[in-house]
Amino acid sequence: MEPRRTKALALIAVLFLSAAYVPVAAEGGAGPDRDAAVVLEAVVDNWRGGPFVGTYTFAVERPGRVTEYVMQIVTDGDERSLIRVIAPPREAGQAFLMNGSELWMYNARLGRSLRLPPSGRSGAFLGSDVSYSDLAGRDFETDYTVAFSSTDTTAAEDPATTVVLELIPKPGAPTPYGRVLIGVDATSLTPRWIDYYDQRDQVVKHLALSDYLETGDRRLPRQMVVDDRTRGGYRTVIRLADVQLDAPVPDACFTIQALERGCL
Amino acid sequence: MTTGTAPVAPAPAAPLLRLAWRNLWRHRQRTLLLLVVVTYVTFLTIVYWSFVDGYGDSVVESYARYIAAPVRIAADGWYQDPDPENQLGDLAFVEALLRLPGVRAASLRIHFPALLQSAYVTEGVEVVGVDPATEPQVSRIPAKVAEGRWLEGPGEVVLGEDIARRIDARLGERVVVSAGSLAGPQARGLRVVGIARTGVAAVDQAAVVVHLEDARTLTGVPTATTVDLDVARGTEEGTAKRVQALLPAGVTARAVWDMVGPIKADVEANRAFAYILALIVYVFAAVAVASTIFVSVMERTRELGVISALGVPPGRLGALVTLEAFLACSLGWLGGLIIGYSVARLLAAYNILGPLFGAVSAGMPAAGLSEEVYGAVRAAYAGYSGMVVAAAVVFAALVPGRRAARLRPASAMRAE
Amino acid sequence: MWALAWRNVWRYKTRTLVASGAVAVVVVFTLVFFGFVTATMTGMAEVLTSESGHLHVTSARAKQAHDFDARLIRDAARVEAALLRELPDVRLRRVLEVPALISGETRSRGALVIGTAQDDALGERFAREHVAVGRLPAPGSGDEIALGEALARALQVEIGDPVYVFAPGTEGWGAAAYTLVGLLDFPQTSHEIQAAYVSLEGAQELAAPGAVTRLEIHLAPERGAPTDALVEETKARAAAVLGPEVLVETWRESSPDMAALLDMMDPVMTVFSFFIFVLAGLLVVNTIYLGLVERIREFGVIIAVGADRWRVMRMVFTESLVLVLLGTAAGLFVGGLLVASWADGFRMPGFDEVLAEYGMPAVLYPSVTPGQVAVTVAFAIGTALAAALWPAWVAGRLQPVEAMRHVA
Repeated sequence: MEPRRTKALALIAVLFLSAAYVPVAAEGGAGPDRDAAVVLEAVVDNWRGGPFVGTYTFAVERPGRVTEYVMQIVTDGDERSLIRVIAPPREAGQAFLMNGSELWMYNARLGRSLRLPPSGRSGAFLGSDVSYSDLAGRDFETDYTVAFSSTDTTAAEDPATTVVLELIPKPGAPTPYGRVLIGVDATSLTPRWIDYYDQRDQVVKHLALSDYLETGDRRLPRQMVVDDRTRGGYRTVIRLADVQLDAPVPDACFTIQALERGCL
Repeated sequence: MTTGTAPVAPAPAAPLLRLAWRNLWRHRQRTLLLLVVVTYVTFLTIVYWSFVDGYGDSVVESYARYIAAPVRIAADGWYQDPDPENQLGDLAFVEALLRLPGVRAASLRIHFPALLQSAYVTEGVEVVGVDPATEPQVSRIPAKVAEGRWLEGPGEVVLGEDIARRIDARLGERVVVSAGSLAGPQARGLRVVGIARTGVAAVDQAAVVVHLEDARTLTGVPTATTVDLDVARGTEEGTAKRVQALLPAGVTARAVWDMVGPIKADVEANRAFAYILALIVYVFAAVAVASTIFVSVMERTRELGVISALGVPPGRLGALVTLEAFLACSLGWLGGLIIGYSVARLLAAYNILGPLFGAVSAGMPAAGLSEEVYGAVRAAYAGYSGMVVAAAVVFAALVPGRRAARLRPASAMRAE
Repeated sequence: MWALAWRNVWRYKTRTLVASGAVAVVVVFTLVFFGFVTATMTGMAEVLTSESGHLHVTSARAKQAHDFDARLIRDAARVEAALLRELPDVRLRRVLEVPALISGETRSRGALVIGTAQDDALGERFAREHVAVGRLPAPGSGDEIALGEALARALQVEIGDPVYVFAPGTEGWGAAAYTLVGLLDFPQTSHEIQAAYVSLEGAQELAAPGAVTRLEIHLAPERGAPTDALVEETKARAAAVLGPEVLVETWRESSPDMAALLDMMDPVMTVFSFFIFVLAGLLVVNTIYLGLVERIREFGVIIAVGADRWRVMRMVFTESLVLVLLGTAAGLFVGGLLVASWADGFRMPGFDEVLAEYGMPAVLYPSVTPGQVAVTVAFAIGTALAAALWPAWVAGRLQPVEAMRHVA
C-alpha cells in the first residue's frame, strides 16, 4: 500500500481524535512527599481537568505562516466529547463527535455525517504538532513506570518548587519514546512542562502548560504550547477560553443529532 | 587434408545418403565451418530466449518470494479490496492443503494498513503479520535480514532497510504500530529485532513484518487474510488449480502470475522488445548459415562438375548437395541444442546472471529484481532455432542445389 | 599490385559478389541491430516517462517534512509563468494531491484526491490509457470525480452516484460533493485503491487555493524520448529561473526505480551486441575463408613459379581489401539508408495495437552513433582481412605441390 493513503487516514483520524480532550476531575490536593505514582495520578488529573464546556484556539505555527482554528468543545469528562469549528469561516460548521472509539464527523457544507475509519493515536491533528495522546487519555499511567527523577535536568528551575517525574515505558508499551520527564509544581501538582525523549536521550518534543484555571479542587491548563524539537519553526499554541466547569453536559450532546444540529 | 581431389564415382545404386555423409567428412574444414555456424546460431537462439524468458520469470519469481507468494489463497473480496475486513472466514482447509502433493508449505499472513511511529516520524505503512516458523519456507525476506535477526516471538518487528532509515529506527529500539482494529483502535510497541536488505525495492522501502499474534491483536482478525503456499517454480498455475478444489466457496487460490499486476506491463514490454531484436537476429543468423552453405557449394563447382561428368544425373546431384547441407546443418543443430540447453540449464540451476548483472548495474535491485536471475529452459527454443536453421537450409541449399542440378560438366570443370 | 588485385576481383565475379556481399550484409545488419537497440532504449524511456513527464517541480520542503502544508507550491501561477517564459515549448501537467477521506453513501476510505490540469495531448493520453468506464472530470469542473475501479468497488459506488470528499485542516473548503463520472484502471492496485481524480480547480477549491504539489514537465522532442543530456540541461535552466523555493528533479532522480530498469538494458544490450558480433564474424570468416581456400591451389602455383609467400599474402591482402571496402561501402550505403529512412519513425505494420496493449510506443526511432558505425566498419574489415590472410598463410607454409593438391 502506498504510504500516502495511510497518511491521509492519519491526518484525518487524528483531527477527530482531538475531540477526546477529556478532562478528568482532580481528586483533592496532594503534597510533594507522596509516592511517585500518586503524584502522577494527580498530575494527569490536573492536566485533563474534568467535564467542561469551552472554546479552543489552535494557532498552528509553521515557518513563515500561522493558521488559527477556533472550536467549541463540550465534554462529559469521560470518553465522550463534541467539538464544533467556528473559525476560520471555511471550516466553520464542521463538527466532530467522539464516543469511545467511535468517531463521527459532520460537514455543514455537505449536510452530511460520516463515520470515520478507526486509526492511530498519533500524528498531526489539523496539521498541527499536537497528537491525540497530548490531548486525551491517561497513557502516562498505563504505559509507563514512574519514579522521581534522580537527576536535575532543568537547572533553571528551583528544586524546592518543582518536582521532576521520570517515566520509563513498560515493555511493549505503544510509545516510541525512550522516557518522559514531567516538571511538576510542588504545591499544586500541576504539570508545568513535559519533555519527550527519544531512545537516544534527545528531547524531541516539549510541552509547556500554563495559565491554570482553578475552581475549588479542580485545575485545568488554559494554555499549552507544543514544540517540535526535530523541526525548527514547528510549534502549536493551544488556548482554552470561556470555560464553564459547572455547565450541564447532557447525554443528548453526544448523539448524531447533536453532531448535526448542536446541543447547547 | 591432402587426399586426392577426385571424388569416388558413386555406384548408381549407392544410397545418396551415404554418399552425402562421406562427402561431409572428406571436406572436413568446410563442414566444420558450417557446423560451427549452425551450432552457434542454435546456441544463440536458445541462450537468447533462455535469458529473455528467464529474466521475466525472475521478475515474477522475485515478486512471488518477496511481495506476494507462489500461490495465494484469500477471500474473493480481499483481492478486490485488500482490507482486513475481507479476512478468511475459517482456516479449516489448510490441513487438507498441506497433504496435497506439490504444496510444500503454507504460511498464514495478515495484511493490514497501519501507522508506524518512531519518536520522530509517523508513516502510513502496510504491515504483514506472519508466523515466524512457516514464513521462511514461503518468503525469502527472513533469509535477508542483514542486521539483527528474524522474528522469534510477539512484540518484535522486522523492518525494510529504507523504511527503517526513513523513520530513523535502529536495531533494538521500540516503534509503535497502530491500526484500526475491527473492534476499535489498537496500538503496540514493538522492538526492532531485524533490518532486512533484500535488494527488492518494494520490500526494502516498505516492509513492516510483525508476529501473527500481534497482527491479530492489532486488527481483530482471528484467522488470517491470506494463506500463502510454497510450491516449486513453474508449478504455480497447476497447483493453484488443484488447491482450488479444496477451498470453500468465496475463497480463491491464485498463482503468482495472476497477482503481478504492477510488474506485468514491464515484463511484457520487455518481451515485446525482445521479439523485435530476435527478428533481426533470426534474419541475420539465417543469412549467416545460408551464405556459408552457398559459398561451400560454389567452391565445389569444379568437383561437382567431375561428379556430373561421371554420370550422376543432375537431379541427383542437386539432391546430393541439398542433402549434404541438410546433414551438416542437422549435426550443427544437434550440437547447438546440446551446448545451448546445457548452458541454459546451467543458467537455470545456478544464479550466474544475477551477480553478472549486479556487477554491471548497481541499479538492478531497484528495478524490482532481486540479485537472483535464472535462465529459463523451454522445449520451444529447439523449435525456434530449428526454424531459423531450416529456413537457412531451404533458402541456401535450394539455390546451389539447383545450380548443381543445372551444371554442365565441361564448363564446371573449367570453372575457378 | 592494386591493378592485379582489381583484375582478380573481377575475374571471380561470383566469389567477389558473395564475399563483398557477406561484408555488406554484416555491416547492414549490425547497423540495423544497433539502430534498434537505440530505438529499444529510447522506446523504453518513452514508455517510462510518458505518464510522469521528464522533470518534476516540487516544493523544496517536501523532502524533509511530510505534511500536506510542506508539500504545497503555493504561488503555482507564478512558478508556472516563470517556467514557461524560460521553456516555452514544454507541455505541463499541474498536479495537486490532497490526502483525504472519501465516502459513498455507506462506506468510506482514506484516499488521495488528485487534481490535474494539463495539456490536451497529455489529457488524451491519460484518458486513453486509464479510463475503463465513463470519462475524466471535465477541465475546471468543480463537481465531477473519477475513481480507481478498486476504490469505487470498495466504496460501493457506480457511475452517476454521489461521492463525498473530506479534507479537513486544509486551506480550502475542506469538504465537497462530486458526481462519479469515470472509473479508472491502473496497473498498480495500490494506486487504484486510493486514486480519486478531479480537476485541478476542484482540488484547489477543496484544499489549497492557487497551489499545486507538483508540476510535471514533459519535454516535447521531435521524436521518441529526449536524451538524458537534454533533460539535465532543461533541469538546470528550470532550476535557475525557479529559485530555491522549489526543487527540480529529473525523472531519473524522482523515480530511481524506473531509471534503474532502463540502466539495466545497457549491460543486456552489450551482451546482445557481443553475440551479434560473433555471428557477424562467423558470417564473414566463412564466406571469405571458404572462397579463398579453393585458391590455395592457385597460390601454390604462384609460389611454385617463384613468388615468395609474402608476395602472395600481399596480393591476397590487397585483393581482399578491395573486396571488403566494396562490401563495407555497399553495406554502409544500404544500412545507412535503412536507418535513415526509419529515423523519422519505424512502425511495424499492423502491430500498433499490440504495442499499445503492452504500453509500448507504436513508433520506434532507430538511430546509430558515429561510434557504432566506426566499430561496425572496423570489425567488418578486421575479420574479413584476417579470414582472407589465413589461406594465403597456409599456402605459403605448404610445399607448392601439397598446396596444389589442397582440399578444404
